[in-house]
Amino acid sequence: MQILLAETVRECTGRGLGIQRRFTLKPYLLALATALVVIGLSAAAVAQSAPLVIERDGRVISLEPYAANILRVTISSDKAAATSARDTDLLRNPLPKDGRANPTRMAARYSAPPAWLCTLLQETSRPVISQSQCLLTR
Amino acid sequence: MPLDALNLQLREPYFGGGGGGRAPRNDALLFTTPAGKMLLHMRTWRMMPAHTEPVDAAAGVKSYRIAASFDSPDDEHYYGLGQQQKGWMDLRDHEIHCWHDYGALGGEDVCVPFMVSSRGYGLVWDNPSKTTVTLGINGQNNWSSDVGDRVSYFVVAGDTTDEIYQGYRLLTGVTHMLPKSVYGYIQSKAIYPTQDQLMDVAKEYREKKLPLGVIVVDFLNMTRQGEMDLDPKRWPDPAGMNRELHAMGIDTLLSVWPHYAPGTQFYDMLLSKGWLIHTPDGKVDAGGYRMNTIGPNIDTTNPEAARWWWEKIRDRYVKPYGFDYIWLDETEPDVDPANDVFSIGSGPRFYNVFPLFHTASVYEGFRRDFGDSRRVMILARAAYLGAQRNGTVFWSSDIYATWDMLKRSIPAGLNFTASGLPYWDTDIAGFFSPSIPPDYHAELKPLVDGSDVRGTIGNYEDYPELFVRWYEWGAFQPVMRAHGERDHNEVWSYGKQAEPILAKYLKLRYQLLPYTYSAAYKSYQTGAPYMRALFMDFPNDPRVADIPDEYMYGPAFLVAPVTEQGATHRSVYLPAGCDWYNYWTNERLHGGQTIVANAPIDTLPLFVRAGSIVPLGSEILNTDQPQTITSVKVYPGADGSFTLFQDDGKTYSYEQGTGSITHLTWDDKAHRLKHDGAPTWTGTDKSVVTVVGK
Repeated sequence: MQILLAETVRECTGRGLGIQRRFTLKPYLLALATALVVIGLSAAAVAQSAPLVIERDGRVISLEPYAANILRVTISSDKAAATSARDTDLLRNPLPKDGRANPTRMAARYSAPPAWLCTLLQETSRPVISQSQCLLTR
Repeated sequence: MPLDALNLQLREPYFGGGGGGRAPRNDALLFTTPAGKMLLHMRTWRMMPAHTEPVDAAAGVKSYRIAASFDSPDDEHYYGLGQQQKGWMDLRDHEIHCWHDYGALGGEDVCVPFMVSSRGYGLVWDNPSKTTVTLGINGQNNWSSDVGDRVSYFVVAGDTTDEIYQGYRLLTGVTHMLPKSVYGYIQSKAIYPTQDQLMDVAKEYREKKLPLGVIVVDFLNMTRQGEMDLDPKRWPDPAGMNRELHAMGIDTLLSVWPHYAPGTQFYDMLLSKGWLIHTPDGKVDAGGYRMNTIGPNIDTTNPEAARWWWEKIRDRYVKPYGFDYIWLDETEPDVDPANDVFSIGSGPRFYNVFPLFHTASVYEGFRRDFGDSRRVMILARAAYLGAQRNGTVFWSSDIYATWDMLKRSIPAGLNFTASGLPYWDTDIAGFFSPSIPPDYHAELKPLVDGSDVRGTIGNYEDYPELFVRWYEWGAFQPVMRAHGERDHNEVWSYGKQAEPILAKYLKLRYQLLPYTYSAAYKSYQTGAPYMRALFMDFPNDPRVADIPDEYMYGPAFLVAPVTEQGATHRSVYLPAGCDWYNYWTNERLHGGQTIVANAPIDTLPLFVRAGSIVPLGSEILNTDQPQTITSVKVYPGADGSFTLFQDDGKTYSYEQGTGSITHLTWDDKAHRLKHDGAPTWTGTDKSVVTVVGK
């Protein structure tokens, strides 16, 4: 797992005021949101199938790598619904252990136009998931 | 475009505007391959407060209407999403009602919320409530579900469609091999009402030396609905019947409806345990059915009820009588659950999942009690994500026996199998008889004379022709099964002119069993269907994106059924990128062109892709008989390979790797066929291998 945490933090927090204005986030919430991105990615570095979670203004966006070519997206204004209740999934196919252990090879980019653009997953070299870059765009 | 604050303020009381969380959220997600190829771009999502059913509230769940919208580039095409019988192949520019609806336009809609895009991804929409999908309208795809507390979906990427199906298989489960007899021919009719009638039909097949694998005991077989018995007046010795049929190499498929009428022996117990599907106030729901005759459905989303249901089937039909397979009819369930409560939650919230649980009850019971010793086959009328893992074959429900439905059925099946569930078939040739006026005449002179079977067809004078054309197509469906509401429905029922043509295709079905069975084994391994819409194998040919009446049957055959009454030819587009052979004449043709194929009534337009290797088996009457490989046909023009799989056809031992595998490889440049692995023929290669056109 290779994640450029330092770069992520610098870029995201370096443009914090702009983000704060656009989304009327209080500074501590902005820091929290940024931290959650980082925490999510850090968790993914340890357990590759753990979801990457963004929380923003009461919205929760979760990306969960399932296999090399499968990514799960869960979005909700209810955090519990977005990040838990896995055991109620009707798909209920026990994924092969080696399947879940595989990181996704797909890339996913989050944006909330016109302010946020955030690369959440991007393969750098197999089997690494990604680096993360949160950039402000206007 | 933005509106000013006053405008928004004035609108708010009327339309809700952005208040109450109704406005689209602009959290967007862009998915790409590692190489940067764009797959999918979600632009917005919504959660709109909705009524929460008490049973869901008790489970701590709030209800919302949830939705997400995605970009829909002009050149993107869409397939899958279960069963729609409206004649659509490419689902672009259509609105899909993703919920089970027996009475839908054309024929039953079945919801399997898995869509495959021509841009190299699949999308599994993880919400079992009624879902509406609009594709391509205003440059957007919108997915909207009636009840949910989150937007949840999976993106499955693949360089090929088969890689996407491998992902679907990983997520939702394996398509197991069916009993080998099921790949042969299933004879059914609505209904064979007595043991004698059923046995007469089976014996006639054997006397005429016609192949037959399975015969069907349809519904109305019990003394009362819910007794879970067989009426002894009409079925005096079911065990003896099955013994005799098995000795003839014929298996049986028994229909068991999930309804329980009041006054039958299990009703009170089921009612007291809350195992009958009911409304929130506890009243059982029989829908439009006669309460005292048919009654409500058992709730197999309840694990205890599901176990009981299977154990009763086991102990009342399978063990004592020797029935082989179970037809789980009325699978939606047929009583609209919108106002009901399932064990797992409210009907609105779990609207589409009953087929998954209902088929699982019997599949899992079989595996629990019989281990690997016997394969499961369940015939079911509705499906859902993952229902392919339950030993299931899905049929296209009770459709009309018309030319129109023949035409609509082909893309219906292609999109169903494109939904990741390889086993689908139709009633050959339609279920309901259309209303035929007394002065009816076919538009063109019927190509099959039915004057000798007027007692069967009435004045539907072109029905024998329709049956023949449907039967020809049926020989190239994943499962071949004749069924429908008719007095007679066998190979010999439609007149002297029809019978030899029907027999020809029935025998061809069995001759191709080594090929079909091997294709099915590949589906088991990969999750990809072997009844394949053309987009799967020819992604670089834009002309195949919306062809509703041609498909690949396994890797070799392009099938182009005739769907017009009186037609003796039809146009066929041969996909670009390879050459093709006319199966009947061996004429070699270039791909990328539309030809006019001769199609006299005894000819199904059938083409073989250059580079194909097709093993053919010896004549057999059933799959208990040993079938040898009598011919291996090679169609040169490209390198090719084929993996031939053979095993006992009855057990799950293939899951442990048993069975014989032979790799056949054609080197086009060297003009040589190699084979390694298990030997499959005893003679010399020269005596078996035919290079077409040589």
